[in-house]
Amino acid sequence: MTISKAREAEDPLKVGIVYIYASKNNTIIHITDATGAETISRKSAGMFTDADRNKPQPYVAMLAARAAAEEARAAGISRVIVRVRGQGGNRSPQPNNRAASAAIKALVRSGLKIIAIEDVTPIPHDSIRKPGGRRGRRV
Amino acid sequence: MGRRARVKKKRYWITVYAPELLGGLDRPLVKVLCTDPTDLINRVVLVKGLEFTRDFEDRGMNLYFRITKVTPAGAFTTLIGHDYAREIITSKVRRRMSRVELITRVYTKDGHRVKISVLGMTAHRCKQVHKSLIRKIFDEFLREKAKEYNYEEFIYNLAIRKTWHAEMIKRAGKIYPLKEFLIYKSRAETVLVPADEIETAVEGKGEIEKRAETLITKK
Repeated sequence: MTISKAREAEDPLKVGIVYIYASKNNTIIHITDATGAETISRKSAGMFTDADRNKPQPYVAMLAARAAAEEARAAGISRVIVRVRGQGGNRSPQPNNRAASAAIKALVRSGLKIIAIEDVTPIPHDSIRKPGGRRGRRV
Repeated sequence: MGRRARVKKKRYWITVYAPELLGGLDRPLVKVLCTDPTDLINRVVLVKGLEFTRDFEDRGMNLYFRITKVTPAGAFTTLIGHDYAREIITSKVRRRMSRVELITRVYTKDGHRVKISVLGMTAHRCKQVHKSLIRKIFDEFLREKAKEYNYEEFIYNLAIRKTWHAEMIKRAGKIYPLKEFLIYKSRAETVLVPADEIETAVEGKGEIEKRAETLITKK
């Protein structure tokens, strides 16, 4: 089946939400339905590499996203809302952008149509003091 | 350690419709998954503002619909609130302006409590007394309007139609002119199907399962 014919067969009402958790140690891609309550696919970068040091790498995030997107496409999902987050709290206020953008690119290349991309990193209005003390963490 | 048995999971695709006020059966929103139709009651569906209104001004808006009833025709919802993406709110905040923010809870005609967050940016930096007065004006205005509508109509006017935006800016402008104005969040906090009514909120369960498209996945 050609891509255009596959597109015609798709149901535009089957919208998914892709939650990308891109921390500095790993990337987790979780695809759910529009309520966020039913999981369709969940993959982490750690599932695609043996070396722990590679887990935050963009390439591995891409593999994870591609695998998750394929499962979602098989389930009939055609369009997705992407919600990216980093660790948040008093640690990193931003997602691991290298890994996150590689994952988003992989989603697009797998044929998912992206409705919106949103940053949903949990930012506290107030929080406890960041660990490490006044002079920073001394290694 | 034994190997985990590969159980197949059967789920149904159910079409979710907009509330009666926003089109009802003529306006399908999305299709959602469930193993049992009773699970769907009280779930909240996320719909992007741009998708819903087709207005580019609503690009950063999220609309939230709560499922209150499931029938063989589909799932029926009620509008419970909206919010804006973080970048939309932060883009309004600038230097040399004052940020006037009000977070309040109002009671609507049908007795539901709605939480509203309002953001106004004054044209120049203003005094604290101006901020307090503007907040008071917003609060009184919203309280007054809430009394005239039920929660769904109220949120519809607040988030989608933006009926009172001009009026609120005008009233605040008498104290200090506003350059930016946004009602960035609203949520009907008391709208929930009670636990003992969940069973009755699903009509024709067998029929729903027979009619719906299925999705079989490995557990």
